[in-house]
Amino acid sequence: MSAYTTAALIAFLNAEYGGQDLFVSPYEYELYIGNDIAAGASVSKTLQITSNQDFLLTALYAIDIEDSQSGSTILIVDNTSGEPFSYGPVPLPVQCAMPASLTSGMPMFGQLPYPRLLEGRTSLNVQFTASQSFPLTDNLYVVLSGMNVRAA
Amino acid sequence: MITCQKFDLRDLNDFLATMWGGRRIKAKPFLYPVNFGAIAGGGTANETLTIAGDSDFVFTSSYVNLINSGGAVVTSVGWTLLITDTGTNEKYMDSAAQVPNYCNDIGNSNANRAFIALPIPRRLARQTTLSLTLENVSGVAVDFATVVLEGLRVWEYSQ
Repeated sequence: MSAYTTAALIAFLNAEYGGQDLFVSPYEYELYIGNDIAAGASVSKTLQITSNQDFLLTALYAIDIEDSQSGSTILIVDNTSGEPFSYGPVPLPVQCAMPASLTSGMPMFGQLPYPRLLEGRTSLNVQFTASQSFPLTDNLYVVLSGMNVRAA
Repeated sequence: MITCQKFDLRDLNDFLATMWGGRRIKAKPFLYPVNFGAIAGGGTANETLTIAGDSDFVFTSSYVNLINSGGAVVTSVGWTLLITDTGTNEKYMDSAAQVPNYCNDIGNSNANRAFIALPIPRRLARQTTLSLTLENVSGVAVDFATVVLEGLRVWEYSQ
């Protein structure tokens, strides 16, 4: 389901950085959301992008999430710019792929339709709201997958 | 309405360059959720969605998530969706589409299914208002029905 070829990503970065020489390396940020979250309860966590390089976000994953949390929601907001990733909370399986649930056929969504460039020091707020019917009992991690970008 | 995967990044950039005539723009991935709440078996619900006033939206694909009273996700088989641009009265389909053919269904447990995207992206101007009508022909009631429009939020630089 990959929509990003290496050539397309390089072209995207060249356009964003005006063709300057770059050092790019695959990277991911893992944000621990928590466990034992009551049904319908919300938890907010903050993720800080490293200060010495930018991060090109290409996909989001939710790790250790139970199938029963299909009714949970997530809202990610860039605290630096105030920009949300969505117009309101969206179902977690729409925003994040859920690889742990593949055995039961849950889809591998989560790849962004277009890369999102997060500048160094960007702070993200991630708000998770558990299913109205089931508490979250496992340890939930949200993983931001993409690449570090810095001047060569 | 089925294509097998998300749009290629270069194709999207070509689309943006064509639609904006090469003007300077900034595009970012974005989701517009539309929450319908509870819908009874055989029931119909209608919601409107207004695109943000500061940016256009390039609609590429959609999702549906149906949660029953027990908190479990259920399939959208037997559901239909009609989207109408209330400004132009343009319908996005000839008649209400079968949801499993139009939206990526969180409740579809077929692991081998293809990703569903529009055959070509659709540009929605800022402040466009859409009317979405979701009909539950399946007879199975749900407590939460959500349709999510996925795509790109596009800002145009003033200079």
